[in-house]
Amino acid sequence: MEKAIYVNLNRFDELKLAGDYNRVYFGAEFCDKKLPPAKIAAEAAKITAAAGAGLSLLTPYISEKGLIRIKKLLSGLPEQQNIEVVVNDFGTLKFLRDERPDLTPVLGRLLAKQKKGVGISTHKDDAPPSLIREWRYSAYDNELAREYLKEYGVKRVELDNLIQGVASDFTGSGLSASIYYPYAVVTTSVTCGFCGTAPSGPGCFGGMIEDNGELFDRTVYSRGNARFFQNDELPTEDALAALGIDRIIYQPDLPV
Amino acid sequence: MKILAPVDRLDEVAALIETGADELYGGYVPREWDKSYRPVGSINKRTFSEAQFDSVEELQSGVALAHHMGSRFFLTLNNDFYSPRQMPGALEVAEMAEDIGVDALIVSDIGLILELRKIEIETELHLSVLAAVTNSGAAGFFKELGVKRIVLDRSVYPREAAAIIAAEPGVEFESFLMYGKCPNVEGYCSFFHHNDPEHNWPCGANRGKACGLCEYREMDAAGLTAAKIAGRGRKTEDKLKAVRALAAVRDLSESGASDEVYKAGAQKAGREIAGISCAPDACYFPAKD
Repeated sequence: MEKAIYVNLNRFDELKLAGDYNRVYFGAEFCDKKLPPAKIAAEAAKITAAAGAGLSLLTPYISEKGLIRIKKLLSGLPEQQNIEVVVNDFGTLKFLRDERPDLTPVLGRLLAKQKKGVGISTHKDDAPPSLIREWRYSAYDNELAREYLKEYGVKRVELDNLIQGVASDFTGSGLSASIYYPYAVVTTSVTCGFCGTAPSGPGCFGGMIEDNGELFDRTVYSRGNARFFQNDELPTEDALAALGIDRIIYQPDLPV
Repeated sequence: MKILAPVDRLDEVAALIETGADELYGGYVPREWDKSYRPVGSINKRTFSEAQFDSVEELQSGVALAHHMGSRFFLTLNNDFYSPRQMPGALEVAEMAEDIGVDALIVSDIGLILELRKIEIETELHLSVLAAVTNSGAAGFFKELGVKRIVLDRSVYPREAAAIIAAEPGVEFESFLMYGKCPNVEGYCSFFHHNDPEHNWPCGANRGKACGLCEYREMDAAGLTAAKIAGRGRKTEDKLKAVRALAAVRDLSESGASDEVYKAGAQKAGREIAGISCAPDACYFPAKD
């Protein structure tokens, strides 16, 4: 089982932790305004490589304006093995295929489209077991979709650790899968209450807000423009391996 | 720009078209699907029965009436994904839709799009807002998949829409301009909405009364094909108000009114026809910082 660590953008010095892991996840997963410049990403690749780890550069969904920013970033990445680009936008995936086929695209968790809402148990009277069973899958349990991704050079799909369990099985598909732990993304917004505040200030990179809405069956945590729940119950490594999940991404802190 | 309105029942079809809707979209859940997955596991994202046609016969009559009145009818099949066990059911609905003359399927799942291509469905495919297209690159990705029209994410402002449309000729675009302004990126949001239309907005009740009438003219200039009204499952009266308001701003925009007169008129239409007062959380395109 590969072990990866998620390092928040404002904790660049923690890249040195790379030595204890196979990979470091670094970048911006939800906000294109936070995308690091190519120079920083290249430096991160250098540090992680020196520590014997790979770099997985996280990229978010992209506005039309942000497209310029991400193209600049990806164009500026060094030609270096062991750099992956985690894409959470099909525009980014298309750009990689067209302009940087040397980089390895990984399909990010936002594009897996899993059913993650906090409220599974509040729906228990409405949602029969036959439905909950289907909610353990993702958009990439379809053979044709998997083949299509492979045409784009995708070799890995990333998943969140669902409250209702994960049933997506990638064994024998030619794709590997990763799972994030312990935070799963519930939602994200471009209407961010923190936008316009100091980029490194509380709420944007640091701090968090807890929300225990009446329809929620567990706490929702907000940071920046995304919201998460925590699921501490990770399946065993054997159980994950049986699904073709061969990488765990540890998030010691809420992602940004 | 065309006006695309939601429709839930046969008896709404004529009124919506007579009021100004050029195109209609609606949903239908087969009985077997509903039995297996209940409304909350709907085949088309709307989790309450008020948002669905009751039968294939009613749907077919709705499609025929829309065609008779010179309008087009689209069917939603826009779940984020269909699991391996669910996919055959979704394909059956697509085939049924083609048989009864539905003009387009509104889809989101890449697996479904590819499966529809495989069985050579000839019905147009329109990409749902659930696919979260926010840039021209993503639009190009889905154009390659063969979609005919793309619904832009609600976060896309007119200027960005113009850039996306200019970058991807050969595909049509539409945007939501009335009601249902989800504050999140809907395609990346997995909050469970309650299966009751009165409690369908865990993100704030006022969002359902959103309005983007002021930007109709700019969206039209950007090259958008259709202005979409959210609200499957809403009262008929609400749907008609939204169509009436959009038709009024379309007339005003085409009358050659100055931008100042246009904007005042659009706000008036929102207030007096749709009953929506300007407010930051009700505005589709609030001023950016």
